[in-house]
Amino acid sequence: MMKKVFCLFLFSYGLSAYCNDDVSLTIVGYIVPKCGFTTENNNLTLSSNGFANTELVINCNSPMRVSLQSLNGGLRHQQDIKVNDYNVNWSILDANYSMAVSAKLLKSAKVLNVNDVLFNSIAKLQIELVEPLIYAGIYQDVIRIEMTPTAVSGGVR
Amino acid sequence: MKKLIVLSAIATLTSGAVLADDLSVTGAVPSVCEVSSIDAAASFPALAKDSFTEVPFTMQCNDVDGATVKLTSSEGHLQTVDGDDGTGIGYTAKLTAGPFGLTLVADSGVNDIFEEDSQSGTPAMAAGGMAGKILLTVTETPVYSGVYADMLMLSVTAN
Repeated sequence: MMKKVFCLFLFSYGLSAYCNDDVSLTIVGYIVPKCGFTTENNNLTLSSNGFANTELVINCNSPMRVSLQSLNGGLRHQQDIKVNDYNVNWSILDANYSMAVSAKLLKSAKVLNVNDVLFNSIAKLQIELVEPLIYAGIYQDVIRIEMTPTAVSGGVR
Repeated sequence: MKKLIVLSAIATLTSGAVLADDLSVTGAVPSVCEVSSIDAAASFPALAKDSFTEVPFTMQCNDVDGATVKLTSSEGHLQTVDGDDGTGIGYTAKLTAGPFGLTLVADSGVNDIFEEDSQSGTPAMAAGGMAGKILLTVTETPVYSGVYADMLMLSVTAN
């Protein structure tokens, strides 16, 4: 009886030495989406004929959503409540993505979805007065530009 | 026997950083208040009561609060050149220009009497070229021969 048990143990050991052993490695990498832009001029001054423009250099490692919003919905006279409307022309990648909208409508943020990944891409912002400014004084508005990466699953929509 | 090993090189799963920046848009308009296209002299070749003449002009004042128009008579009447302040004949100067309207009665001989009118800003006033006129009417009959004169000053001032 003692001998039989010993033989079974040897058999089992020998079988184990001939088995294959598969190992699967799943490797996941993740790069944080990051968008940024630089402007050649953050302070735009309208020329005497009512135009202003600037360029932005965009770097974003993900498709993104770009939103524009006007603080005053136009150029606001600093000593009065008068607001003068102006038109905004916004284009990225030679107008592959573009938007033409009045500042009055930009009081509510307008969104442009960019499906390309942009590295060192130029965005052009052009501003044109709808009507001349006639009252003396300083007129001002602020355009807020937001860029939000959208590639991440469940990202900001 | 299979083994499954999952190696993850996961950083933080964020929904993506939002980048925002502000662009300031500024415009400026210089202040302009002026009277133009006005003759420097008005004359009555035959001075008589009820004779009149009109002096046209244009004006501009682009102050958002409007402007004040003022007519000032230096002598307070049409005064004889060789007389004293008490010798002269009266006249009225009625100004009309857009929302402005005033009448200066110059028959007292009191120096530097004036009338003025203040109005809120309007696009027409701010844009320039707003037409106006001053109607000068003699209100008294001259007695003495000679030359009568006054200096009437029109001024426009931003409010």
